[in-house]
This record gives sequence, C-alpha cells and structure tokens, in this order.
Amino acid sequence: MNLVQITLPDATPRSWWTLHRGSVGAYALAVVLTGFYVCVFWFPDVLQPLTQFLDPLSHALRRAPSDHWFLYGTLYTGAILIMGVRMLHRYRHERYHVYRTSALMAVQLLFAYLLPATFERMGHQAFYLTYFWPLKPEYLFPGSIDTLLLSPDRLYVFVGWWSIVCAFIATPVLTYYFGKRWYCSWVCGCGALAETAGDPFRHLSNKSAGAWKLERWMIYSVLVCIIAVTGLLWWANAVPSSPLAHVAYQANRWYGFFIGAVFSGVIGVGFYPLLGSRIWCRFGCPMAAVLGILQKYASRFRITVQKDQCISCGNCSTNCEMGIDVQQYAERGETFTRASCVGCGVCSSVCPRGVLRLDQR
Amino acid sequence: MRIAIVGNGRAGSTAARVLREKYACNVDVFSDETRFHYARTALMYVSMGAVAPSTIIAPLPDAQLREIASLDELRGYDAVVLATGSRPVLPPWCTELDADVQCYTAWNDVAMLADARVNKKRCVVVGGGLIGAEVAEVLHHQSVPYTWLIRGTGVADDIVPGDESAMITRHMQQSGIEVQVASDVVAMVREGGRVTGLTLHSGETLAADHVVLAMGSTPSIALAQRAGLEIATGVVVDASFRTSLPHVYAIGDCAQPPWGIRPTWHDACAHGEHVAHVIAGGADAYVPSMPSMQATFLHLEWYSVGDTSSESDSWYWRDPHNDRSVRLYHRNSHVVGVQTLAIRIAREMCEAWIAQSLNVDAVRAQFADAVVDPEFTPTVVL
Ligand SMILES: Cc1cc2nc3c(=O)[nH]c(=O)nc-3n(C[C@H](O)[C@H](O)[C@H](O)COP(=O)(O)OP(=O)(O)OC[C@H]3O[C@@H](n4cnc5c(N)ncnc54)[C@H](O)[C@@H]3O)c2cc1C
Ligand code: SF4
Repeated sequence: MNLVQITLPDATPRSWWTLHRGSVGAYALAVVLTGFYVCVFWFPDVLQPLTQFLDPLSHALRRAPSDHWFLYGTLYTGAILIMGVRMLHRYRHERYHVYRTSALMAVQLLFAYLLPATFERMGHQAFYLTYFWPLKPEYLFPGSIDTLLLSPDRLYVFVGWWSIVCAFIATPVLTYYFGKRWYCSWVCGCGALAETAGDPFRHLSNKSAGAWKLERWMIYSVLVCIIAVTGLLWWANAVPSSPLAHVAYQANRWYGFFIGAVFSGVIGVGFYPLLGSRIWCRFGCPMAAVLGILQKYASRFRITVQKDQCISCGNCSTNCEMGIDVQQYAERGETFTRASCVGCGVCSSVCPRGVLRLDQR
Repeated sequence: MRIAIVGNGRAGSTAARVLREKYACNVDVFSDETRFHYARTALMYVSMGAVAPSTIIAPLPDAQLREIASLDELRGYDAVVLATGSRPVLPPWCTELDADVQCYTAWNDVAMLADARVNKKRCVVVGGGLIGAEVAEVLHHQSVPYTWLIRGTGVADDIVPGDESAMITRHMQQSGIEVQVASDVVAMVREGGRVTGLTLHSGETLAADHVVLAMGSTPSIALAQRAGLEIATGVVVDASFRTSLPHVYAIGDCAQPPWGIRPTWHDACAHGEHVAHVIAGGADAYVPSMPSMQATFLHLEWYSVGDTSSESDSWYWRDPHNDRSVRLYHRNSHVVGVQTLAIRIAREMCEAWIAQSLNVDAVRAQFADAVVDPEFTPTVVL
C-alpha cells in the first residue's frame, strides 16, 4: 500500500514539549528520567549536591536533615504543581479538568508532602493517607497490627483503621458510584504525576490489541503476586517456625525491588517519553487492577457514546493515556466500560463532535 | 459479483468494505485522489499535528489510483457505484488552482498548506463557512500570518442565525483569530504568474502570497453527466440509490435522493452500507435518519437536529452568564428542530420530541434531560 503519495511535512507538534514517538529527544529524556530514578534508589550519593540544596527546606518542614527521599518527594510534588498549572491552563474551558487537576495538586501537596513531613516533624513515621493496600501493601502486612492497630498512640491506631476502611469499604463503594477515576484521576499521586507532568506524553501509549492483551496479563499478574506476598507474610506470622516464613520475607523483598522500585519507579516514570504517561497504572498497579475489576463489574461508570456523530478523526484514541482505542467504540456508536479507563475525561474534551461522555447516572 | 466503485471517500469505501466482508463480492475501487481511504473530516487535525497522518488513514480498501473519465471504462462489471463526492466551488475571479491558490478538501491540500507555512507565505482565507473556520483555526494554531475574509456579517452566518453567528465570531476573535467581515473579494492580482493580492469590493487590495478558497462545495457530477445520467444538483437517485441507468448507483455527497442532498460524514457512511445491501442483498429503500449536524469552532460546539432552516419560526434562549444558547425551531409551535451552541444534546431525545411534534413549552420543560454536557458544567434552565 502506498501510504504517503505526497510527502507530508512532519506533523507540527501541538506544543513545543510534545515529543514525537521514538525521536532522539524522547530517548534522551527517557535516559535522564530513568537515570534519576536509578540514582534515587541505588546511588543516592550522586544526588548529594541536590539533596544538600534542600536542607533548609527539609529542616523547616521536618526538623530533619534532607535526604534523597526528601529530594525525590520535593521534585515529584514540584513537577505535579508546575505541570498542573499548565494542565489547568490547557483545559481551562472545562470545569471537570479544572476541578480534577486542582484536586490532584491539592492532595499531592497536602497528603503526600506536607502531612507526611508534619508527621516526621512530630517524631512519627511519615504516613501517606492516600495510599492503601494493595498499592501500599505494608499497611496491611502483619507487622502493622502491632505497630498500628495495637499501638498506644491514637494516631497510629487511626492510620491503621483508616487504611483498612479505605481498602475494603471506601474503595468498592466509591468505585460503584464514580468508577475507578475517584482514585486514579482525583487522588492518587502516581495518577497526579501522569495527569500533569505526563500530559505531554499521553499520545505515546500503544493502542494496539496486542498491548491491551499484554496489559491484562501483566496487571493481573502483579495483583496475584501482591496477594500472594501478603498471604505468605500472614502465614509466616501465624506459623513463624514454618519454612514458608523465609520464603515470605524473600518474596516481599523481591516484590519491593522489582515491582516497587523497578516497575513503578524506574520504568513507570522513566519511560514516560517512550511508552506514554500511565505505564505503571496500565501495566503494573495492583490497585488499578482491583479498581478495574470493580469498575467493569460493579460500577455505574461508563463512557456513553452518541451514535452516528463520530467523524473518525482519531483525537480521542490519540489522547488516551491508557491506550484505549476509543474511536472504535465511537464509530460503532457503542457505549462502553473498560477496566483500564481512569476517567481522566480528556477523550471527551478533545472530541470535536461531542460524542463521548463520562457517565455515572 | 463484480462491482466497480468510483471514489474511495467515506461512501465508496464503506460500500466496498460491506460488499467484500458481508457478501464476498469482487470489488474494484477507483480513486483519482489517494489509494487509501482517509477521514476527510480530520484533515485539520493532521494540519495541526494533533493526530498523526497514519491515524486518519484506513488501510483497507485499497483503491486503484485512476480517474474514471467515462462509464465505458467500466464495462464488464455487474454494478457500478458512483461515490464521487463533492468538489469545492470556485469563484468567478479564480477558476483554476495552482501553487498559490488552494482549497482545503483533499489530501494534497494538507501538504500545500504546510508548505505555505514553511515558506512563510502570507495567507488569505476566503469564506466564512465551516471549512473556512477550520482553515483559520489551523493557521492561527500554527502561527501563520493570515487574513480571514468573510462576505457576510459573521462566521457561519449561512447556517446559523445572526445571534449565534455573532457569538461564534466573538468567541473566535477573543481567542485571537482575526475575522474580517463584509469583505467580498472581486479580483485576484497576479504578477509574473504569482499571486500578490486580492481586491475587495471596497476597492482595497490586500497583499497575499497564498489564497485558500473555502466557498462551499457542490456534488461532483462530471462523470455522471458524461454518462447521461439524470442530474439535478447532484445525481438523481431513488430511495435505493438507483440512478436513471440500470445497475448504476450513486451514493454520498454526489447523490441526490428524494429527501435531498445531505453532504455529511454520517450520511455518506450510511449510504455506503445500504447500497451494498441493495446490490448484493436485495435490500429495499433506505429510510433516512433525521438530519443532524455538529461542528466545533475552537472551543464552541454547535449542534443541530431536525429542520433548523430559517423558514421556521424559532424560540431562542441565551444564557446570560455564559456563551451558550438554545434555539427551538417550530411550526405552529410544534418543535421541528433543535439547535444549540456550547450545549451538548442527546440527539435521540431531540429526535423523539420532533417525531412526537411536542410543542415548545413541553420541550422547554424537559430540555435539561437531554443535556449531556460534561460533569460540573452549569445546568441549563430554560
Ligand atoms: C475539510 C472538511 C471537513 C469536513 N467536516 C465534516 C464534519 O465535521 N462532519 C460531517 O458530517 N461532514 C464533514 N465534511 C463532509 C464530509 O467529509 C463528506 O460529506 C464526506 O466525506 C462525503 O463522502 P463521499 O464518499 O461521498 O465523498 P468524498 O469523500 O468527497 O470522496 C469522493 C472521492 O471520489 C474521488 N473521485 C471523484 N471523481 C472521481 C473519478 N471520476 N474517478 C476516480 N475518483 C473520483 C474523489 O477524488 C474523492 O476521493 C467535511 C468535509 C471537508 C472537506
Ligand atoms: S474524537 Fe470524537 S469524532 Fe474523533 S474519532 Fe473520537 S469520538 Fe470520533
């Protein structure tokens, strides 16, 4: 097939930071981001000058010297805030995005940055109240019974119950009414980064059927892994003498290394310029897996499609960070629910013919 | 069955796909434009770099790149489908296109417009309809210096009433798009074979290196005419898309069925599918859906369902706080058409109101139910 009979000049990017798939710039940025994550996880000394630079801020916020995790958290929050402003400007015409982006920025700043710092300042552990099992599995590991629920400190008891209630009660109830988006596009920090700093990369996600299949295999495998790790740890806790105990601790370490560090961090963000902004959310996050199953089978959320209005322009699919080929449903006039849909609402906004609506009625 | 299809736009390529997939027919598709089918409606998004060219291209059906000049070339086929679409209307002061004068309806036009940008040509867009507005948006987005000339008083004033047109025009102007209204072009100035300017009705001459004509379109009927088919504005067909010659059908923009020409993407698609059922499946007459149109002017969306022609009376509501409006067209107070600006409406519900001939008050009372705006948009209270 002769696809291009006339030479089309390079499609002009929507904005200067939009990277072309596979361009030199994309690879260069991926190397920088990946390198940064590798340093944070395994070679924090390299970052020493930057870490030191933040020392005054760290003392002010936490009454403790700065470390590489503080540096990481500060950069992460800064990226969300700065690129969040860009996102607010870009979608200023639609309230859904204004409210949603503001919520993400506020949650990140308050619950994932200032509040944990305040906990540390008070001499406690840095709790993150917006992450629950299975995304932050530690809170439901057996150790948390002693350290949280049975702690003499009321704050620790609260955090323990909070994570249990959020994981097992709030999650299904909120997902029933609002879909997965209440978490992924309004609360979660990984989602916040993807929706703000990741916005220029959203078009890079792979839309093929093969990628969809891979996504289902991977994300549910990770879910099975974390359920297994949690189960093993509880077993090891109940029968400390069992040989399984050793396996459980090893499994937990491996999960922390491969999924927690390599997948969600290094690849999850480092590969933004290559694979799009929601790599972790799409292929790895066990929380997204749970929310996705709930969304698909126990939720009112869906994307309603106005029949016969689609002009096959491809804006919706291009902009889907989760790699959903929205256009296919739109052309067929088919209202749909996809487990992976995080309800960011961008397809609905970029559609020039008002075909798509996020619906929970 | 061997079937020839002339034109691989939305109509022709849909017919080819259904004939091949559903009826296993042997189909040859001819196009003088591109081998591949593509979404003509999405040209502007390619120009803006919002979608990749490959996104709007459908890999199949693959056409033979050839202009069909006469139906004699298609002897031996059991049926011939004309899906030749429409062609742009050219003004009397410019009857031929060249490197400096283009329209914006075909694949090559995207490259031409991009060349004009790369070569820093001073562009003038002539025509204030939907395509003129698209081109202006593209040029604005790409920071190309341009002037946009509109003959009437505002953008799209031939398809929407004055108040809506004024709202659209103001919206575009506020976003930085310059519109020059009441500017009728009477002549094009050329020097040494290159375009150098356009002369307006007022006598003023505007400097221009590149002219984009967007002055409407008309059915492409040259081939049908040569074949001696019955022609009105388009190729006259019955409700099953049969022309005046046996085994010759016409669909899409070029066809004029009993309910009139409706040059839209959806109609072209529906025609293509139905004609396949007629040719290979013995289907009956096509029942047209209620007319409907959608367009977007930058961020302002426009929706129309049913009969929204100026012949009917209308009831108009304009939001005092936001740039949005509703117009209910009626005859003897029975609603025949609904038109909105910046309010998304559930088309099926509007169609039901019109089919039931509800009166204006009844529609006003239920209107909020048909609004499908994104969440958190202020509610519409008529
Ligand atoms: C810029 C633009 C934006 C638009 N936006 C919208 C929109 O938003 N919504 C909407 O509903 N409609 C829109 N339209 C209209 C819509 O694109 C048309 O209604 C639709 O494409 C018609 O399809 P068709 O198959 O009948 O004809 P066409 O798409 O015009 O295809 C006809 C094809 O036949 C070829 N051909 C003609 N004669 C011959 C011959 N003798 N031999 C070989 N090949 C021949 C032509 O070169 C052409 O490729 C838009 C049109 C344009 C140009
Ligand atoms: S953005 Fe809208 S019109 Fe374009 S392909 Fe998607 S649903 Fe269709």
